Amino acid sequence: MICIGARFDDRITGRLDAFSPNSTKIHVDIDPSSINKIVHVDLPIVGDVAHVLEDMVRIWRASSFHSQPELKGWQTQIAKWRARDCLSYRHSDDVIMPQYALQRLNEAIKGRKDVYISTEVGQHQMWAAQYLGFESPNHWLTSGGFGTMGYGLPAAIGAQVAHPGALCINVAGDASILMNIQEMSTAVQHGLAPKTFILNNSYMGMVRQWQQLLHGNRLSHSYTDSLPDFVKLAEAYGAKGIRVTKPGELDDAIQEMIESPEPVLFDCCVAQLTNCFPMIPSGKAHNEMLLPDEATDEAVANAIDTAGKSLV
Amino acid sequence: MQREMTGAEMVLQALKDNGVEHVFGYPGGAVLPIYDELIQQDSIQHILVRHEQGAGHAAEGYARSTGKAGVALVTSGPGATNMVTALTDAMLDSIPMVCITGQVPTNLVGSDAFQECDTVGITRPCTKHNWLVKDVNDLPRILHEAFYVAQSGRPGPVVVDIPKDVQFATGTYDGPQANPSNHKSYRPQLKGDMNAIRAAVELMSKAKRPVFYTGGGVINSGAAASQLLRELVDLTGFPITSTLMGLGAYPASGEQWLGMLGMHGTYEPTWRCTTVI
Repeated sequence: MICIGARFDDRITGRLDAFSPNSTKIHVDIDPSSINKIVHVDLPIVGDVAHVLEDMVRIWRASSFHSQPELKGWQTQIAKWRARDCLSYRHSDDVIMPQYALQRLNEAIKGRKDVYISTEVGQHQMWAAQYLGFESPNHWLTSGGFGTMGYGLPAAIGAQVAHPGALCINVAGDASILMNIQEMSTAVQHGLAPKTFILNNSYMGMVRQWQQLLHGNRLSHSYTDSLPDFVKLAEAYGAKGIRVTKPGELDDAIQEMIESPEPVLFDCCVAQLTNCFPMIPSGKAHNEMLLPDEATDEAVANAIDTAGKSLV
Repeated sequence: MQREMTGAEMVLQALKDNGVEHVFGYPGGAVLPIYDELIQQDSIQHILVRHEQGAGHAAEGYARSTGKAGVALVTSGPGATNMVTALTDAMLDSIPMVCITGQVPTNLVGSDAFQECDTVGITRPCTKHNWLVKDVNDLPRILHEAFYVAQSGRPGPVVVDIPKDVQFATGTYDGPQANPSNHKSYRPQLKGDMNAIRAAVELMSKAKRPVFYTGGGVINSGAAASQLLRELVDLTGFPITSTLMGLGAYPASGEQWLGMLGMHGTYEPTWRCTTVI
């Protein structure tokens, strides 16, 4: 395992003793305190990623190294795993599935180089990471370590200030967007036009998902009654509001959002009870992953054992 | 170039000298002298937010999408405490950010003055470094140092807390050093140990079931790092996965791309990481 510029975060490793226990690990990091902090590595290299990669590429070339023939078999095995199609979901013609909404958004922005995507925090953030394809660095702005709801709208405004002609989209949830909604006013004042694509399910979806996993589906305060009318709210700020409730309306509405010269609140009303899979339940190892087609109500209710419950 | 000027003028001059074009902020009593300078120039554009947390995240979005430090300017007390979430966010994701906070005048520090809080105390655990400027003659050096610390090594947020009397005081301004990496104590190691790198490449050439696990550090290292990563993946033919923070360093359409790793990552990298290698 060649770890480059990453820090063996708990969201990555899952249960530590089961995280790639038998691999030989190389870790490249500019921060010496990140090395051997969480996972013991066999070969640490302290340095800047670009500098180290440059040396690696040069040495690989100069020594005419080549990969082992076993790599072919390895890739065949990977292809089999890939065929598992772990991001599949059941489509509906009546209700917008959140995954489908993001696939349509991805289709609409595909091939454009001037797109910056920010997110808030929750299910929509994970779906955005899963269903939007990122082709180049610095185009994906998300609160990864701290998980700050309310990050996405101001982050999109910041990106828009730096790239005035670009398309800056904040993929949001109905709960997160309300945490810094006041920044719509900032966008309007400064003639900035970030688009906020709200996957609106009236729930704090990730909180609800964990209540289903850990607390017998008792949904304590994770439903938001009395959400604002996001279209009217956008208009109150002097921005544009668009609401979509049917899958068939998505493509035209997304196009309208993209072409709008003003900031947009896009209220995408999605299936309310959809959960985000695959998921490695807390306290579990990677090979105990819950896959979408296996995540029945019963599997979800029993996914986390007593020890795992105290983890986040 | 040395010049006499006020602390508030020094702030604007140092921002310009460090290549700043945009500042996200919110005015208040303890930063009024800086805002008074801001309105009398037009090379730096100020984006007026509606809440200081918004300024912080906007600066983060700016930094993440450009690779340059994002700059936020807020007042003392609630202005500073409203920044704490954004500073911590930038700390955990290694985002370069320079936050300038106003502070009550030095003679009132510690007196529970109006809109006073211990900004350097509160932000110590959520910044890479922070400074309370007590003498206007230290201000230029500290501001240049702030940009250097935020953007070098593992990037992160820094706070420069400037009492109002320091903003009014007059002192001598010096521009940034030609080579800031000659800093007296903070010199992050850029070149990796050659023996270790050679050993790593040799291990890689012998690997039977290899995987690259990459993160936000590749993006923080600059565009060249992503380019070199793609080159190394092409050369070796090794599959690659990434954390949430590292998405985009290797293209999602690339031949060796496995999808994201982690709690909500895809089946391919996560399964393999634990059970196989």
